[in-house]
Amino acid sequence: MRSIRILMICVDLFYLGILSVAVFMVFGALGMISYLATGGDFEPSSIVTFVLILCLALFAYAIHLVREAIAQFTKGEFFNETVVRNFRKSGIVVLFAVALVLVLPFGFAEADELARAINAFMLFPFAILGLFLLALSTIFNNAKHLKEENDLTL
Amino acid sequence: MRKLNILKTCLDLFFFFGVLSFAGALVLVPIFVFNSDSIEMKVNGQELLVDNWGARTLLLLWLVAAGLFVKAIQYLRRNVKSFVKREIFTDEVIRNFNKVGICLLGSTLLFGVPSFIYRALIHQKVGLDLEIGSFDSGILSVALALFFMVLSEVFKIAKNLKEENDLTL
Repeated sequence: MRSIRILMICVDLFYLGILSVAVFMVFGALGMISYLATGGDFEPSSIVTFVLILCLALFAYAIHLVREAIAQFTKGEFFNETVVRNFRKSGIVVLFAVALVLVLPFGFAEADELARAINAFMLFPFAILGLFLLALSTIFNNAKHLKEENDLTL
Repeated sequence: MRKLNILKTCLDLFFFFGVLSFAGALVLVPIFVFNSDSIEMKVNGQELLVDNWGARTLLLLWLVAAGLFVKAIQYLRRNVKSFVKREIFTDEVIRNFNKVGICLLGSTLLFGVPSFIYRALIHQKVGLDLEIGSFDSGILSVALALFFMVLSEVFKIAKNLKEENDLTL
């Protein structure tokens, strides 16, 4: 199971990276809020930026949940409630982020071009990832029941 | 079950467009490789001036990497099809997850390593774009590949559990 340890290192690295980007962007968002609060002009693109920051934060949270599930794997715990719950939550969070970007062009015509560019590049693989995580959660739940039955028999 | 059907439809679409783009690349890349004129192009955000044999080899390797990526999607699609049929903990699923991992890892390495060597040799510029935190980063691709390999191992354990359970019954 050496691959689990390498996977953990990769996920940790990616998580740290995305966290630092998220922190940087949250500071940007705070700057924008203070600009608007001091009477700055409101532009629809500000909303797009806020939604994107929110999506990034949601994605970082999904990675955090998957990371916790993999941490259970490293302990030799494959089929337990934490793994099932974390996969389900992360799937929902990723799909929610995808849905946020998807509804963006309907609310703001000016944001259409930017949102369309994001849709084309990111949304489809991320929708697949979210659905796959949800499916995995169901499958791990099945395996958990199998394990419980097995333990009872023993 | 409905989630699985939506996932299958998404994967079918992704695979269809992946095959279409790969077929297009399969026609265009030989034209660029055997063309004596220099052509400037952009692949996956990386700019490439195809004017020497190094760049042409790089283009061919990128084509192989794209092929491996499409193959990984195909294996994943097969697995989701098995899940829809309620065949979850089988040898085929375990094998396919491992193949998805190997194909994704191969695709990432075939795209990243030759680009690194090419830039170092031809442009005398040594740099590594880890792009940690970016959505199309190499680290995320490697992590996904390893995740599928780990899933293959975990499914093997679940298969053994299921067999033991069936024997007890």
